[in-house]
Amino acid sequence: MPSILNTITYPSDYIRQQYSLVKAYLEDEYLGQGNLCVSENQLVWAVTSNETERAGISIDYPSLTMHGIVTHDPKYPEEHLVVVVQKAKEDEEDDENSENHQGDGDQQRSDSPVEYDSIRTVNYRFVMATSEDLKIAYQTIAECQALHPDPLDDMVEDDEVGSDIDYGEEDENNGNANGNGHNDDDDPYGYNAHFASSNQELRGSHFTSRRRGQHDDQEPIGRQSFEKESLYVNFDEDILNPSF
Amino acid sequence: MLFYSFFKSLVGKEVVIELKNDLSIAGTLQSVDQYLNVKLTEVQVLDPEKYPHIQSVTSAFVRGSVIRYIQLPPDDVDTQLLQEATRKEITQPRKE
Repeated sequence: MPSILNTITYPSDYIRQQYSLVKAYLEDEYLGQGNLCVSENQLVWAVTSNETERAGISIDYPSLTMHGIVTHDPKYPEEHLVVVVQKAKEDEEDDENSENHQGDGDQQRSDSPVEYDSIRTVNYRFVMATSEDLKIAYQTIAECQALHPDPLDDMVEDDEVGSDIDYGEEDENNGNANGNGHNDDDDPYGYNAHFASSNQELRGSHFTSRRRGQHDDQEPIGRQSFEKESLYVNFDEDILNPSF
Repeated sequence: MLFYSFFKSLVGKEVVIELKNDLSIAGTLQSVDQYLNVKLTEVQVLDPEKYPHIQSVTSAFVRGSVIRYIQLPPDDVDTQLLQEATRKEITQPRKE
C-alpha cells in the first residue's frame, strides 16, 4: 500500500454514486484498485473493504479545482477521470515534484501583484470500469460541486455591503436573469440584476475579464481609469468602494 | 446575476480560462451556473510543454472560485454594453 494513503472514513450517507473496480493514481503513482464514492459532502476513493475506516483519499468539494474526462493523453492512454485538487498550505513545502504551479524559471508573472491568489494543485486520475461509469461520475461530481459554493469572502464582508445581504432572497433570484420587468431590448444580457442579489452570486469569485492579446497589463484598474479599450471589472474593489 | 447572464450569452463560444494554479485551458463554453462554475468541452491545455499532465480533456468542470481570468473573443463581447451595465448595477440602490 502506498504510504501516501490516509485512513479515511468511507461515507455512509448522502451517497450519490458508487463505483467499484476503479484504479486510482496520484500524479504518476498508482494507488491501487478500489471504490470511488461520490457523496454530497466529499469525493472518496478507498480500497475495497468491509471496514468503514479504510486506506484511501477524501476530497472536499471546495478544494476540487476542476475535474474532467480525458480521452487523449499520450502519457495516460486509458480513458479516465482527472480530478485536480488544491493542496493545503502546509503541503507546499513538501512538494518538489508534481506541481501544477509555474515556477521553473519563468518569473515574469509570479512577481505581479495580481497573482497573489496562486494556488498549488495535484492531479488524481481515476480509471473507471466502464465508459458509462466515467460519464456518470463526471456529471455527478459536477452536481455535488454546485452544493458547495464558496462562503462569503472576507473582503466582501464590509459593513456597508455584508449587512444588507438577505440570504432569504437567494432562492427567488436563482436563474431569474430577466425577471425585473425590463424587456430584452433594454437588457439583452439580463444585466438588470439587483445589487444585493448580484453580490450574492459574485461572492468568492475573483473574476476579471480581459481581451485576448492583452497580456502585459496585469493590474486590474480601478474605477477612475475605466477606459473603452480595456475591460477590467474588479468586483471586490468596485463593490466596496463605489465612487462614481 | 450580471456576469452569470453575461457568460450565459457566451455559451458555445471559445474561451480561455486561466486558473489560480496558473494553468490555462482553452475550450468551448458549454454551461455556466450562478456560482460561475464553468463547463467546457473540447478542452486543450495551453502550453502543454509546461504542463504535460493534462491534455485533451473532452469535458471539464471548473470550480468558479479557482478561476482567475476568462479570456473572451473580442467580437463576441459588447464592451460598451457591459461597462454600462456594470456601472448601472453598482449605482442601483440596494434592496431593503
